[in-house]
Amino acid sequence: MIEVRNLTKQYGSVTAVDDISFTVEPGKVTGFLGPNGAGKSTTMRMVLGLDRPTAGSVLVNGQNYRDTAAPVHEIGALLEAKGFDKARSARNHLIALAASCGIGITRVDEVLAMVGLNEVARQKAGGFSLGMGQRLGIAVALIGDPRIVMLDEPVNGLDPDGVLWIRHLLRELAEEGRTVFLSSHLMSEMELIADQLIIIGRGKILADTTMSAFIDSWSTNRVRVVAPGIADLEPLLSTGSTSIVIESSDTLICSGIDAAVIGQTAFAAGIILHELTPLSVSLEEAFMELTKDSVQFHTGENAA
Amino acid sequence: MSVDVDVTFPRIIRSEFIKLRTLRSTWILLGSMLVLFIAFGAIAALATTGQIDDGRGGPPAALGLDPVTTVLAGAGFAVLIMSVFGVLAGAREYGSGMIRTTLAFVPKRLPVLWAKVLVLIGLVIPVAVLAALGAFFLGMAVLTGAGEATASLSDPDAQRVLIGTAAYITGLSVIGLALGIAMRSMPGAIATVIGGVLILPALLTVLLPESWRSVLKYLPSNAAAPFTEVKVRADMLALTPGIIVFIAWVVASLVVAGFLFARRDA
Ligand SMILES: Nc1ncnc2c1ncn2[C@@H]1O[C@H](COP(=O)(O)OP(=O)(O)OP(=O)(O)O)[C@@H](O)[C@H]1O
Ligand SMILES: [Mg+2]
Repeated sequence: MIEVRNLTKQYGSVTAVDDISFTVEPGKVTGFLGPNGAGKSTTMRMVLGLDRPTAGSVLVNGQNYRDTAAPVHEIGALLEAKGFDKARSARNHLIALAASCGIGITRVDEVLAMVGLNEVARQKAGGFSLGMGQRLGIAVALIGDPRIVMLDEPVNGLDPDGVLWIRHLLRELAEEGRTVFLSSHLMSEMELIADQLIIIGRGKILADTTMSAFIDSWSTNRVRVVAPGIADLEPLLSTGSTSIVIESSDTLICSGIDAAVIGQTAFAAGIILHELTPLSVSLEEAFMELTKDSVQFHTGENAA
Repeated sequence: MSVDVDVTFPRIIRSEFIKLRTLRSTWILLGSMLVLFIAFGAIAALATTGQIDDGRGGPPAALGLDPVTTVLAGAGFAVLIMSVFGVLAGAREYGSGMIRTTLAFVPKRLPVLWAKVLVLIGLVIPVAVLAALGAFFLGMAVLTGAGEATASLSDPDAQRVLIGTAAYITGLSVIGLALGIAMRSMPGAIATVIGGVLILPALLTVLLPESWRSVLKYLPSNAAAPFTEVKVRADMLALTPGIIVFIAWVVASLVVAGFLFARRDA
């Protein structure tokens, strides 16, 4: 379990993380979602005690991470930056790190096999592709059999096979009762992995909810109806929970009613429909809607 | 996995030793220090005996120097190489971002610094002693062969300078490590240790007026002179103050590095 309480981090005049509080619970996969520069990596560095909070605190399984006797058993982390020496082999990298907590070569070879690097383990890590480097980072994260697995953009650079593998792995880790916390800036990725969703933008928490509640709250079914006889149709549809917005002289946007019901109503009344289109907000759109005020790096749409 | 995975100081030391051991540059630097130190001593000895020409046709360049100084002609190179080695041991992890991985494994920071220092000292001392002894014996053999004046290992001056030189090399490697940690950059720390610690004091000693000598003798390289140079000069500290001042520099550099390392964002 990770408990973040009123955490703030300022770098000079930049407030990277702005008084955030949340709890990451064991037994599920929690996604930490936010656009570039939102403060995800900064938060994760503070969880590990790498960056000192300007204010607030973080508890890792109830303790300050620095005060834990066996840090690797508490959190295994993959951070954003590469984090290995180019000149050292993957295996030696792991052996050196593992030695700091008494973990031996047997376990090193085990995690190397687990992440699929056993064949290149003796090669210099500097020659690794982005995805191979990422796998090495995941091996580092897993080596201490940690109660919390915290990964900063783990799918970054992984091939489809690797993405699938890590999804299964994270699911398994959560089912074993571990706390799984991972960041991403892609909703589509989170949709497939996360049970719990924490959305951050410009250093502030914008949403902290279960994935299913998030989906429900954003997927109110809307249907666009285009019909010449719209004036006749509108009163027939506006019953009970249905809300209707008249977009133009022949177009309605209905919500709270199924397209099938609209079709049937129109047919029964002898009204001709030109279009009957269910409109669903994709989660990616929902995420963008939610964070649109906090995206710092907009792309110029009409770049000259 | 219910095995003991606690972080302990001996384990951190082991981890830091493996880190250095698995870098080829460690062995290249230690090896070249050993070879250059000994080779320069032998070359200087040969030059003294006139067996090799210094190219200027005049009297042998090293003539007039005492035998111990002659055979330890490579000490300067050794100091240079080991300061760079120290910087590497301190700053290299910042270049790669490995330091964050290290500190995620060992979040209490100061033990990491002390482990790095101990591993560095453990590697540098034996090689420095071996190199100094190698240069001494090979150089003296060359001088003996040519019938030149020699010194023996039982000579107190020889003992002082041999031990002192090995200690100076080790001390500067530790200062290099401290600068590497404090500056978090290999080029910056190398420039500082070579320019600021090794070259600048020598330069100032030559350039500044005589009245400054009383201050300059406290700079690290000058403070080491009483135990790295055979001849005692009037403008250098006495032996014990020299040792104390030099150790103070090493300790001070570690205190600054430790303070920054413990407090700063990694
Ligand atoms: N060491 C630092 N010094 C100064 N500013 C920093 C530092 N680290 C982060 N920042 C700033 O803090 C803000 C948050 O950065 P952070 O890296 O945490 O974002 P992120 O959510 O991880 O973004 P991304 O998706 O691009 O990885 C940014 O404005 C960034 O420029
Ligand atoms: Mg990031």
